[in-house]
Amino acid sequence: MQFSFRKTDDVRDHLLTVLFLLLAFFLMVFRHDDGLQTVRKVSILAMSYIEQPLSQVRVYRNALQSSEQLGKQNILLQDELSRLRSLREENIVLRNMIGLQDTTELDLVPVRIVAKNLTGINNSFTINKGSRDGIEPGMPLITPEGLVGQVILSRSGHAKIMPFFNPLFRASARIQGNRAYGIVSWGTEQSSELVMQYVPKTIDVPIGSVVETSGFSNQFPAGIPVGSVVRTQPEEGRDTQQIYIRPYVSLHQTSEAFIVRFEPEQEVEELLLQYESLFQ
Amino acid sequence: MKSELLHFGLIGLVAVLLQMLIFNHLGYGAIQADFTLVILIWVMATQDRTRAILFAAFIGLLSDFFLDYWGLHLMAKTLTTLIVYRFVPRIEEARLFFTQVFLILLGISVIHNLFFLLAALFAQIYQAGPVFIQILAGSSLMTAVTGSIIYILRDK
Repeated sequence: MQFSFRKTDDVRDHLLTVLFLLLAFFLMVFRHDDGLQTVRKVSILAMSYIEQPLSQVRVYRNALQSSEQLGKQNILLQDELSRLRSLREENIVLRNMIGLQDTTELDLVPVRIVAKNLTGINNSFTINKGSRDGIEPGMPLITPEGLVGQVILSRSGHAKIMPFFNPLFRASARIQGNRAYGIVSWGTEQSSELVMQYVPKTIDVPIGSVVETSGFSNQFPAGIPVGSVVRTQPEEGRDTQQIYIRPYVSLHQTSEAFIVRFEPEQEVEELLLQYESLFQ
Repeated sequence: MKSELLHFGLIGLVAVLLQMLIFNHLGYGAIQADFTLVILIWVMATQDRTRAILFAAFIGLLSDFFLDYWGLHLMAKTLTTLIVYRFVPRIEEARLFFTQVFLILLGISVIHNLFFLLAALFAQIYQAGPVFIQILAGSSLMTAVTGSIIYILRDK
């Protein structure tokens, strides 16, 4: 009799486990569907409120560390500013000469990072501003040093950021000086480097070259610095090479940043959709 | 029954909150102690298997909800509970040495983290590859150390 009770318990436990495993499988597969996206937004909000007090400690610690660094940077920037003032005059004349419009004035929203998840598996940030401040999915997050990531979810008061150290992150980029274009993503071999792909082998890429967003993907404005080239590696059996980049921004030390209120060109988006529909 | 449900529900919620607010910030990179797993092992050692599975699912879902790991903790924790339950000694029946507690915790953590990482690799939405060894060895060790310290403090 006792044996049959135990057997019933066993069956019940196994059924329960199977039920939960199916639920887990469902969550893993459909996490990007609309219904679950709403739940994810609620979870971001809940986590932001819970982690907000802790972020104050992190902000204070980071502020102490960055204070000295900012002092040094300030002197360098003052020097650069005086040079830039004279260059700006020259630039205006040159721009007028070639008829280009000034497209580098970005609409910036200062934000604070209230929660960080940099465990390496599913890296993400949460910032203290959201759709109420005009922040929408797709907008880039930058610091004075360069690109940090992109908004992936937005609620009224908070938004979730996908930093460049995330397996799903992609950015169209170019190398300053030689007009080489490619796609930047997170390198899997070394987690502290980014990789730029699809650059032809025939293009010589000097070590230390600056990599910046190209503006081609209609996702980021052009000219946002990403990092500097540390090494190159030809791809076997292909005409392209991989460019390894050290990002300018340290994700661990970043606590304040700016959202660029950048909206993709609607006409370009529509053209892309029309083009894709031709092949369906 | 209701008060018991509430009791375990509160324990689970507090464990997840402590994990988020304290233990997630005490790690080094991807290496973190899993406090919720320690509490789950304690539930395994004191309650019947059905309750342990239900508790595992509850804290798994809560962890997934707060940490944006949809399905990973739920899968790893329920599967680990079903498999290792019979190997966890009952607290009221056995008085264990520190080394025994440490080894039990380490073994269960390794199994749990293995399930977690395999699920992450299967889902292909998380970058588990580069931190596979760090989590499997480092986090398991850290969880075992944390659990053993809690066991000693509780004993005293």
